[in-house]
Order: sequence, then structure tokens, then C-alpha cells
Amino acid sequence: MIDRRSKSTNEADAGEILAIDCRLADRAAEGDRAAFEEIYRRYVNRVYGLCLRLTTDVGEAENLTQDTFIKAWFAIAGYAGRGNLGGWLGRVAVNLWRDQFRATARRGRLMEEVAAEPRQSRDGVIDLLTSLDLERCIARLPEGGRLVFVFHDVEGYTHREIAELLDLAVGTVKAQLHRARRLLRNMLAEDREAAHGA
Amino acid sequence: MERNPSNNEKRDSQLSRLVGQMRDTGTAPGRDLWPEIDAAIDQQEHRSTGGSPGRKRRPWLRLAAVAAAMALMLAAGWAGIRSITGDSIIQEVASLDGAEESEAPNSGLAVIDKALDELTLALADDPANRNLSHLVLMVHKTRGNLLRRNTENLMRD
Repeated sequence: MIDRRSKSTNEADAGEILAIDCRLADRAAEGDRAAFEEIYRRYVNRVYGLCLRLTTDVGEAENLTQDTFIKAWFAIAGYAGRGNLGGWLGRVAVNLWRDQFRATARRGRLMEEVAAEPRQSRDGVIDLLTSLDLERCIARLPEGGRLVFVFHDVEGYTHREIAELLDLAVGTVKAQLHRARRLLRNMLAEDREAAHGA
Repeated sequence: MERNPSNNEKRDSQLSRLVGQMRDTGTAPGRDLWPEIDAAIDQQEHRSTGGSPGRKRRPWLRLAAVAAAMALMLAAGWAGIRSITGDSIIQEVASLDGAEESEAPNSGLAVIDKALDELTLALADDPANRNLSHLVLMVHKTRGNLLRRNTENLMRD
């Protein structure tokens, strides 16, 4: 059942968050570094989490997070309250990551992963797991599946956008996503069983 | 009759709930990254004001921004576009914003948003470009004015 009161509370909260973000972004666009630092404090976990999911390396994720906020400082005038500020920062991070990803030319590896045989899928309920468990499981996914899952299911990119981003066919992206979800369900079920068996 | 969700649907909805939590909570970095960010911004600003060579430029992005701004002006029904290059585009957008006869249709907002997207990308690529910064701010202002005018028109009707 949908709790209407909590839904409207959430909407009010989202409106308030957006209003605060707009005020901070306006001040930052005028050169207020303290306002930008507040934006950093509000969103660093979201941005770093994304960077870590993309790179799976702490050092690379820290560098990408820093580059993201540096670029965002110079481009903040372009945000101006259009949508979620966390999402906008995420796009900045993904654009920066894309340049590095293309430079390393890892496409061949992503293509190979599609052909690999997926592990046997099993039924399992994942209701007792936390987002930290999910984070750990995502990090264990093969690179292609991990990236496609993060872009599609976490960040909301379309199949086509992901195909362009990773230089893959749309069909390949769909296959990667399907496989990644199946692997994740599998891993999460195993995690849960292990937790219960302990 | 209510349909019982299948195991797969149930698992997918649990997974998407977890994904939402994970995205919003994020992960805290092991150290505070702000001091280095702050210093890097100072350094880049110093470089750009000092006139030393900045990062490599991508002229096609600049051209895309100009094309987007031109599309914006066309969408707003603003006639008389002549040779628009460099700084003059800023003046053109500014005059569009102030023009009383400018009555852009609602569909113009979509074009403005697209122009803003392209300008934002151009600015991200060339952050020290003051012309682009001003242009972005002006287009935002124009967007706000357009929204206000549209709202006023709706109230009148």
C-alpha cells in the first residue's frame, strides 16, 4: 500500500532540497567558494560512490571525484536549478570518466564478457540485505556488466545512451544488463544465505 | 482480481529499492578531498587570469554553443540575425531578453533547454571562457523571463 502522507512529505523534502541546491548553485556561480564547499559536503558521498562503482579503485575514484568538483565549479552556471544537483554532478563525473575510459580502449574486453557463460541463476529473497551488500556485489561484477548496471539501473541512463557512452551495440548493452542483474541476484542470494548460515 | 507478483518481479523491486538507497547514501571517501579541490580551483583560476596557456580548446564545442544560441533566437521569433560571432552573440541574446516584441511559444523552452545543455558542455570544456559564462547566465535569464511571460499570458487568458 502506498503511504500517501509519506509520499507527499517526500515530495516536500525534494522541493526543499532543490530550493537549497538552487540557492547554493546561484551563489557558487557568482564566485562564492563557501557555497560551493557546501555543495561538495552535500554531494561528495554520492559522487564518490558513483566514481568508485565506475573505477573500482579507491585512488582513481578519489581523483575522479576531485576532477568532477573542479569541473563543476567552472560549469556551475550551467546547472541553475534544472533537475537534481546530485544527478547533474553525476553527469559531470561520467563525462570525465568516459574520456579516460575511451583513452584506455577497453571495449574489446567488454565485448568478450558478453560471450562468457553466466552462472546458474537461483531463486533467493534479498529483503534483509543492505545497500552496502549491494555495493560489494556490484564491485564483484565483470566490468561490462558492472558499468551497464551502474549506468542503467543506478544512474538512469537509457540503453542508447549507454551504447554511445561505451561504444557498444544497443543489443550488447541489453544483454550485459540482463546478465548483470542475474549475477547480482545470485550473489545477493548467496550473501543472504551465508549470513543466515553463520 | 489482484495479480500476485512473480518471484522475479518481487526480487527486481527489492533490488531497485536497494539501488535507490545505495545511490542516495553513496560512499564517504577515506579522506577529505576538499582542500585539494579548493587548491586546484585556485590554481586554475590563477592560470586563466594570468593569461598563461590553459587547457586544450575544442573549437567544435564553441561552434556548437553558438549554433545552439542561434537556434534559441530563432525559436523565440527574433528576427534580424546577422553575422553572429564571438562577443556579439552575447549582445544578441541580451537584446532578445529585453525585446518587448519577443513572444516565444512554449515549444521555445525545449530549444532553450537544449541550447543550455550544449552551452553547459562547452563551458565545462572551456571553463575559463568568460564569454561562454556570460552567455549561459543570459540564456538562463531569458528562460526565466520567457516562463514568466508565458505564465502571465496564461493568467490573462
